[in-house]
Amino acid sequence: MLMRQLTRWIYLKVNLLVFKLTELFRVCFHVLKRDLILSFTQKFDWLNPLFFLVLFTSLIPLSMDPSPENLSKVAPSSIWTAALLSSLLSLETLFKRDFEDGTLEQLYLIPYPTSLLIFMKIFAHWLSSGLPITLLSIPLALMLFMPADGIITLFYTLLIGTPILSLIGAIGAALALNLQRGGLLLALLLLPLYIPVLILGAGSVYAAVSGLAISGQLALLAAMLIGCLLTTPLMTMASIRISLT
Amino acid sequence: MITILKKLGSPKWFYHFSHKLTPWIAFFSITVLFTGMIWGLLFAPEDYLQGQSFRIFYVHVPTAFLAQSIYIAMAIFSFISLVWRIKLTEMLSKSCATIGISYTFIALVTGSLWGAPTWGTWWIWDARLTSMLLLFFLYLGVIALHSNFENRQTAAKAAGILAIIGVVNIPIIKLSVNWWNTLHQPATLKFTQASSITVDMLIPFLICFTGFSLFAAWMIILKTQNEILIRESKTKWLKEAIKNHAI
Amino acid sequence: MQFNSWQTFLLMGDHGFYVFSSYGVALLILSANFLSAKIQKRKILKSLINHDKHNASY
Repeated sequence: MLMRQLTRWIYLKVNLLVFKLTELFRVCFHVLKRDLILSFTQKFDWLNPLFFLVLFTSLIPLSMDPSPENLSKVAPSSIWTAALLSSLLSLETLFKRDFEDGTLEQLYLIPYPTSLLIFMKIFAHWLSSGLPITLLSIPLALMLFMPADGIITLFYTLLIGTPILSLIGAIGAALALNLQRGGLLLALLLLPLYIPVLILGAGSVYAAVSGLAISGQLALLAAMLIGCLLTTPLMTMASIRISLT
Repeated sequence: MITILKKLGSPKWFYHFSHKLTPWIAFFSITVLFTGMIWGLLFAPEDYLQGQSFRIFYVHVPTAFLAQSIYIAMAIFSFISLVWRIKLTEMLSKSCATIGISYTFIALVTGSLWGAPTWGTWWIWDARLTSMLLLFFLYLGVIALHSNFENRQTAAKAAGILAIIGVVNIPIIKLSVNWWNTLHQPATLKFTQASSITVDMLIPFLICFTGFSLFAAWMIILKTQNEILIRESKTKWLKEAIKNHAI
Repeated sequence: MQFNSWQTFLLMGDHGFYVFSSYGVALLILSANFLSAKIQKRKILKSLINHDKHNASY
């Protein structure tokens, strides 16, 4: 008798949990889909950083002696710097529109973990900015005569590095929401925080080109990514709350 | 615990307490700082490798060390104010930023002035100089946030979050800069053999260090008092104190 | 005392410029900090007192 009641109770609880989880998953997926659709309908939101990336890297050969050996020397640093700046450029649109039309406030009212929803927004933002930047940097690296080893490492480091940039950048974007000249301030706030990623990312490409081991640096970058995944959505949530009041 | 913090965190209590304390701190910081500096300039022995330029050590090292400690203190104050919503620590952390960036600047300039005769160049992308430069940028971000918001409390909260992220970032910056520096070893320039510090160099250094610390505390108190005057201008105790010329 | 005369003190073994400008910069910035705090305090007090008088006259 007791046994049957207990199994029934467990059955109900598990059912409820599964229901809640699927609901949470659906809401998260909805936020992701909505943000992706919005950013891809607003063409310049996701195209501008890419144009910037292409333009910036094509300025490099024009401002120096463009012989292949010279260019391949500066290629890792210039592509990483360009990727960093263009992901900085893309941050202004991350929360701005939702902040202005009040959608951001709604995120704090619905009964789902806000930090998770904010994380989905950041993830959508990375899919529409960081990922294209990573993919586009490969042809750009070819244009700057980077050797094959370097290009593979560049791809990996950007793949791990751009999410870190988006995650840290989200905090800055949240803090600068209320400000008039937010863009300039954003650069001032975020560039010092971006420096470890830049050093490790560009440095491991250099190391790979000169035939050194890079697994240590990649592991460090991955550790930073995990740390950022765990902490930055919470800090972004706190920062948005400060901006909303 | 929290009630004690709340009591200590009351601006009124801090203002009256620090008002009594400031003359003493002012006196000690000025005398100790001047004693240390004159000792460093006149009485400390010259270094057998670097000669007289070693006297810059007595300004450079204390300020560089304090610049980092003040950043950590700023982050701790911000953390306290964000978690327990204490107004006083918000003001304290704002005051830390100004003196902190001043010390960082002094450390950078004196480091460069020390580098010129010992390394033969004003600037190298050495691990320590670079991380000092980045500390300067971190301070700059905090100060920019403080001055960009109209509401002082919002500004303090935003800057507090940045300070806390920065303090987490400092060891990561150090680690990555160190690694970067071994990757691109500057070929010709190497720091001359680390000189061993004798006791008659250590004494003026400790005096200077104490002096700079006291001065920083003094400045933080002065700035915090100013913040209290602005933020608490509507309160009764402050109006009465101004009327009685007790400030 | 490490120096016999003013001459040697000011020269500092040819490093005089570096040493004295370091100490000078440090003192300059420290005094700027102190002065800005004092000036700020005077301004705040002045505005507070004016504000009070203004209110009292109403």
